[in-house]
Order: sequence, then structure tokens, then C-alpha cells
Amino acid sequence: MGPIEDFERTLQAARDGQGWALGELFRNLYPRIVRYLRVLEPSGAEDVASDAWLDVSTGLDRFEGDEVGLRAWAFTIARRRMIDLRRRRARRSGPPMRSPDVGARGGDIEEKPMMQLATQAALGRIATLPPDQAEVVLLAAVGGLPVAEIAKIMDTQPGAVRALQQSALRRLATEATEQTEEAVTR
Amino acid sequence: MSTPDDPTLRLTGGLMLDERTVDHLLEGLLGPQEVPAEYVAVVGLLRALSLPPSPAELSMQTVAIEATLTELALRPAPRGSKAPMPASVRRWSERSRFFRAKVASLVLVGTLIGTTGLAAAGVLPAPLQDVASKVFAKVGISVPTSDGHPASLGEEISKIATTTDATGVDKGAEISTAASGGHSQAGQHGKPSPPAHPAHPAHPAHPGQPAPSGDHGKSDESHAVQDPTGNAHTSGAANGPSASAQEHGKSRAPG
Repeated sequence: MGPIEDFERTLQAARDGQGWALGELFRNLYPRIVRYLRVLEPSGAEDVASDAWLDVSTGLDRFEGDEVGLRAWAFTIARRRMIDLRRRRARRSGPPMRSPDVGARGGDIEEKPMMQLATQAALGRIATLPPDQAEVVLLAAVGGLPVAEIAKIMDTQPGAVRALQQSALRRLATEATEQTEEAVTR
Repeated sequence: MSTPDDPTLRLTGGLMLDERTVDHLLEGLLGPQEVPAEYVAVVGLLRALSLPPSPAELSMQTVAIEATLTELALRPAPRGSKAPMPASVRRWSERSRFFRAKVASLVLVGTLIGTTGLAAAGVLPAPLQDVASKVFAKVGISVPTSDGHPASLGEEISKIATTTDATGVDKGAEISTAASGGHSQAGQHGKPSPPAHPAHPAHPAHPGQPAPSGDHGKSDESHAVQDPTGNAHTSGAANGPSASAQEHGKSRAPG
């Protein structure tokens, strides 16, 4: 998912309601948001992503900034929508439900043949991380966002984001090493 | 956070990546030869996360864009706003609001049926289903929202209230019946009342008095009640945009 060609022009055209420009923004933002949500909120990923898309695409006249800023804004909205969904769900179901275990989250992703197999498998691996580690990896690798933006979105310090990223990468590397060793000893 | 005893540190030789390497790794800028051996598999994993979207991931594009355009077109301009209206919305605004909504709904219907058929199956993501419901309601077509509620009942009731030839009790009964989906028996004075509400056996009808509405607890939209003076009040379209249904739905029972 590369950068948007001529971002300023595309943004202005999208504000004017031109379909080609909205399509360009959709192709650049929506799959990223869906991938992010598939890991963090698998059961409501499409609904939350659609909600976020409508908020972003109909609120472009309020947005000022560059392409990274637009992605950061879109992820901020998607994250808030996700939190809203969790709150609504918690209110409906009374006592808070046990968070889905990482295996279940990974399994859910693998059941949906929506994306390329490699992407699907990669999201399944990210889903095995603790949620905060998964989120910092997704915001960086899928969202294409720098540490400072991730810290703002997650309402935390850049140092905390860096520490989470280090832990996540080490854990992924460890799991890969273990899998390789298992394969060799079989 | 990792501690010196963290098994992941042992497995990766305690290797900490520097910030720049972490950033580049996450951005997918590093190749397998540019990272420590333990991280080679991670390179492929992170690159796979940002592969171009598949056609399936983009299958909602047309619907989503139409929903955006519809939402923009239906949005009222802020009072006193001097901001220029987007070109595509301005074109729509030149027509009447009804026609505009109709065009939008037809475009949306075409999109839904022509490209995905998802609306008919009720499997659109909730926000898009809600936009479709809102648009159809503007032209008097009832399409359920994501919650399954029809969006246009209020408008239908309002229309009956302002166009029916019936007057008095008959008018109230007509509105009440429509609002309750045929459950209400408001205005059926003089006709034999059932001995008890089928759903409420402990709720006998009052002998010698006009029969009350038979829709206890069945409809939020319509309540036909009788006050102590014997006046039957029927209110409909509680969630509709027009208050006229409530006014026209009032009827006075014959003394």
C-alpha cells in the first residue's frame, strides 16, 4: 500500500465529492483500517471500519494536514469507534466479558478468506501478541505511522511505544526461531 | 516489559535492535540480509502486513463511496455558512430535496443490487445499512436499519393523518391501525369487545365503556388510550418527523 499520488489534489477533489478521489482515499485507508481491526476487534471489524470511513470521508473539510496526518486521523477515529463498540457491548452484556484469548483472535482471522494468504497469515501471527504490542506493530506496519503519531493515537508516551515495539519484535523473532527449531527436530 | 530473565532475550541472544532498525523493519524497508539472523522471518511477516489490498478487501468500495456522497448530499448546509458546497453536492442541490434524495436512493439501489446485492441480503456493514435506510425513508420506502427497525413508519403515519378523508373517531382508528400494524382496535366503539386481551388474560375489557386499544405493550409508535372523561386519544408517528399525525390522530369518543 503505497503513498497517494498527488495527495493535495486528491484530498481537495475528495472534499469536493469527486468519486475518483474518494476511491483513491478508500483504497489507501480502508484496507489498512480493516487489517488493524481484524486483529484487535475481529467480530466488529467491517462495521467499525465502515463507520470510520464514513466519518473520515464526510469530514474531510475539517481535516488539515499531510498524508501521514490523514492516516493518523483515520486510525484515531477507527480506534475511538472500536472503543465505543466495546463500551456498548459491555453495557448490553452486563459484566465485562473475558477478552478473547490470542488463539481465538488468530483463528478468527484465518477463517475469513478476504485477503491474500500471506497477509492473512501475518495478521494471524500478530494476533498472538499481547493486544498493546499487536497494536503498536499494526499502527506502524499497516498504518505506516511514526512513533510520535502512534503515541498520540494510543494516548501514551513515545518511549512506551518504542518499548512495546521492541518487545513485540523480539517475541515474533523468538516464535519464529522456535518454529524453525521444531521443524528441524521433526 | 522484558526483564533480564526474559526467555525472548535469551533466544535472541539478548539482542536489542536500535531505534532506526526497528523503524525501518516496521516500515518494510529492510531486506533479510540487513537484519540479525533471528529477525529474518520477521522481515517477511511485516512485509506481508502491508501487501496491496486484494479485490475482496476492496469489494465495498463502490457502496462506501455512494454512501459518502449520499451522506454529504443529505447533510443540511450549516446556517450562515459561506463555505463553498462541493461541486457534486451542489449539482444535486439544484434539484428539489425530494428529487435529490430519490436520485441518491436510485444510485444507491443500483449500486447495492448491481454490484453486491448485499443490502437485499441484509449483510451490509451496519453504518452503510443505516445510510441506505435513511435515504429510502426520504422517498417513503421502508428499509430496515442495522437494528432491523423500519425508518419510515413515522412519515407514513404522518401522510395518512394529513390525507385521509376520515374524521373524528374513524380517523383516529385509521391512524392507530396503521401505526400499530393492525393491532390497535381504537375507535371500535359499539362493536363487541373481546372478554379479555389474548395476551393479557387478567386484563378484562370494561363492560359498558368504549373498548380500549388492544395494543398494550405491542407498539411504541401508537397508543390509543382513554382518559377518565371518555375521550379516546390516539397518537401515532412518535418517531416521525411530523407532529401533525399526533394532532390529527386525536379523536373524541361520542358521549
